[in-house]
Amino acid sequence: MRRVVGSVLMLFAVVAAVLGAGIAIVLGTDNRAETGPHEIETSAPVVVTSPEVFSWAGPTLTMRIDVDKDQQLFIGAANAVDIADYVGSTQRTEISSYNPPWSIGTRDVFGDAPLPAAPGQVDWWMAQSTETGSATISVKLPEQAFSLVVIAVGGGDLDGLQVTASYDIDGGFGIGLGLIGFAVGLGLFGWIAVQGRPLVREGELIEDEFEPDVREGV
Amino acid sequence: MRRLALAVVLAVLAAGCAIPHPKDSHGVTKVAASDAEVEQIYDRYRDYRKDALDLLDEQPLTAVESGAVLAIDTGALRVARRLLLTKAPDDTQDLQIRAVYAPRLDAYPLWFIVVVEDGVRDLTKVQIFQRQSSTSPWLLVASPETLPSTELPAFDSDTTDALMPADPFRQGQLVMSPQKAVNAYAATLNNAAPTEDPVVSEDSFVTQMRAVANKQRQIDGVTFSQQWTARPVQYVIRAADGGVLVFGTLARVDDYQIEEGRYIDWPEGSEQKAFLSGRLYSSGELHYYHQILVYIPPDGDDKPVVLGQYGGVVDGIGY
Repeated sequence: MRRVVGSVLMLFAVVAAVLGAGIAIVLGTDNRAETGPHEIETSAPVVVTSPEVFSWAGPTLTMRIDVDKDQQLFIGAANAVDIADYVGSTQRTEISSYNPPWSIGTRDVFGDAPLPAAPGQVDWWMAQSTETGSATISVKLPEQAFSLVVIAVGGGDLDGLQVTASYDIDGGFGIGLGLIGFAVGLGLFGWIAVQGRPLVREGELIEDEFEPDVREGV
Repeated sequence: MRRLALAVVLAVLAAGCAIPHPKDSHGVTKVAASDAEVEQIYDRYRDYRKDALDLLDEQPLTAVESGAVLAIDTGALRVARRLLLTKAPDDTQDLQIRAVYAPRLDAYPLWFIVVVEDGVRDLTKVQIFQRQSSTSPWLLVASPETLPSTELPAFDSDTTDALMPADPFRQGQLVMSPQKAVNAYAATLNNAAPTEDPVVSEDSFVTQMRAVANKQRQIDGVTFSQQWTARPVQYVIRAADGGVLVFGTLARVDDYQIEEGRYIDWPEGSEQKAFLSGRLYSSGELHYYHQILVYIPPDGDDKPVVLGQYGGVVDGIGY
């Protein structure tokens, strides 16, 4: 029984060590994982992410978008309900799925209406940036449903759009090292259990090894 | 070993919510507005309302109000302009937010409820602000008033303290659906006298409206009739006791038919004088809106009751 428990503990230790090492290696000492640049094929003036793309909360997402150097562009992050209403009747490319490190699904949505207002005129952006050629925003992924939108401002389209994304997790590298340390301790504990050695504290009486001093006759 | 495990757990907790974790389970929804956003929206409303009262002009109100409440306030300002002949405009207002309730919604229009104490008129306003689309402004769309002594039922809320809206056409565990209750009030008010077994309460709102109508019927030489109709209900919220609170709107038309050879000279400053201009020789019609706040109890012996109302003349024609 003790050996079974020990083996299970060592198995957990290996998993924790691999997980910890993975986190530490992927994030590095700057606590950041980066991917890109990746090109997204689109001829629409708007690219938007579905709420399902960001199904996790917590990390800080930094996204850099590059388009034609003369094209003015806007990047905004907001609640998915706001963005769905805002781009609802406009031609756009929707990023419908994402798997790390970089695998996306897209679909083109047709519409004939322009955006109902310039993006700078609405008040519900969590983060926004307007630049020419290249723009970057940083936003902490919130608990609420969330979307990102990229808009070609002043006409034009987003042909040749490239995305570079990074995730920042505060203290992520430390968490990875902590997991490795935890794995080492857990593994040691499991190894001792597998060896079958009893855990004896100094000064304790071990009944099995006690041999009475018996002398016959005088 | 235990210490090591504890250290790891503490490190993980210290990293707090920065650690990636699945989002909350509320799907693609949004709580209409935070308390801080409501403060900003209401500050803007106060500013525009003050300008309107100052100028006795409804134009500033069109930026912050919509629908029946804008029509009622526009009518009130028109009457006030008539009164201006003898009085200076009074732009005093003391509107203090006492509570904010916002539902979690999955699409526009977004709306929220704000309970406001009106220090000038010693009333409580239970108001609804709505944003029709993501690019439109927040507008006041309902503003029934209650007496300070009137207690609103406790509202039902989800785990995030968001209001729980209800379907206007669904009866569920209620004595009747919200739309049916507002329709029933219109039907009740179309009866000049109380009926034997009314489906809604013969409350102070019904009594007061009947008294006003009966007074008009007593004008000599005039045939007076009144017609009430219910508008579609849009806003319903669940109460903690299983009932609901309904924001309904009733439209009322007062019709005056004057006997040949007679005329009516309306009192100066009255809404009739403002909308029917001077003497009425033949016939006249005044249109009113009344926004009512109706509590519908859960299924049982109790009847729907009006907790508050806000109404006034919105249009008229006469000759």
